[in-house]
Amino acid sequence: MSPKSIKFTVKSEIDHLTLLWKAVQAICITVVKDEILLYNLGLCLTEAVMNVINHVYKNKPGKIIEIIITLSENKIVFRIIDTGNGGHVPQPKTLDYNPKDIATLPEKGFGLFFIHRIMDEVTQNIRGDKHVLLMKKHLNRKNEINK
Amino acid sequence: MELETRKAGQVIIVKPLSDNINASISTEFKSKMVDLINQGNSFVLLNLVQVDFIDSMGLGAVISILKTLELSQGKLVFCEVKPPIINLFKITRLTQVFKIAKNEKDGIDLLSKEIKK
Repeated sequence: MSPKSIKFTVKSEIDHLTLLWKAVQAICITVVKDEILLYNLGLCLTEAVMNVINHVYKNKPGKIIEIIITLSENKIVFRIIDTGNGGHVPQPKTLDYNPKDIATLPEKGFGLFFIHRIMDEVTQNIRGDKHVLLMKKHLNRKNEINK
Repeated sequence: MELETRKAGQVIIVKPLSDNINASISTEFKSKMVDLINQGNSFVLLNLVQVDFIDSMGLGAVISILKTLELSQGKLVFCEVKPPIINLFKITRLTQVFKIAKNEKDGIDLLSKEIKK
């Protein structure tokens, strides 16, 4: 299978995230059959878009976010492109809490944790006035337990 | 979002009638759950049979609800949780924190034991 790409845009509105999640799953199912991995791919993309909405566009509606999904036999690549100020820095997150002490459970910060935990590569770069977040997931691994 | 509720003794069974608990409805979900807790419902069985997707905000809302219940000496149990959501709980180590039952009957039994303690 030669790589195939689809490009679409979403507006910077949280209400669109459910539709985005469903669309991503419908696209990725052509190469991913595992329901957990499929879920996680949709999760990572929606989390990345939510990050752009919250932290780059500061929840201003009507801004445009471009999404390019490239599918091939052995990997899926997501590109999330915004025209913000580059303030979106997806640093790896760890979840430090004591499971025996409920008061220590975090209520925020899961989004970046999911992205870095699930995706194999997460990079970002700036092209002119565009900020590109690239997330890659390899599919040729038998140990998809790291879904 | 709508929540279907029914009582089984001291246990309230709450079933979200939405296919997701994500950023767009997590605040409303949390608010409605806190209202139920404030009405005196301390033993909550959250039936996720209709929920296909929980994101980071939805997870944060669930944790907030758990903390609210713990403060009122209550308990939260999940049931009918789909495998991808169970996996989400696993990778965040929340399976060490959340009580998860297979179905409503098992969930009610689990909460009834907590009530008797």
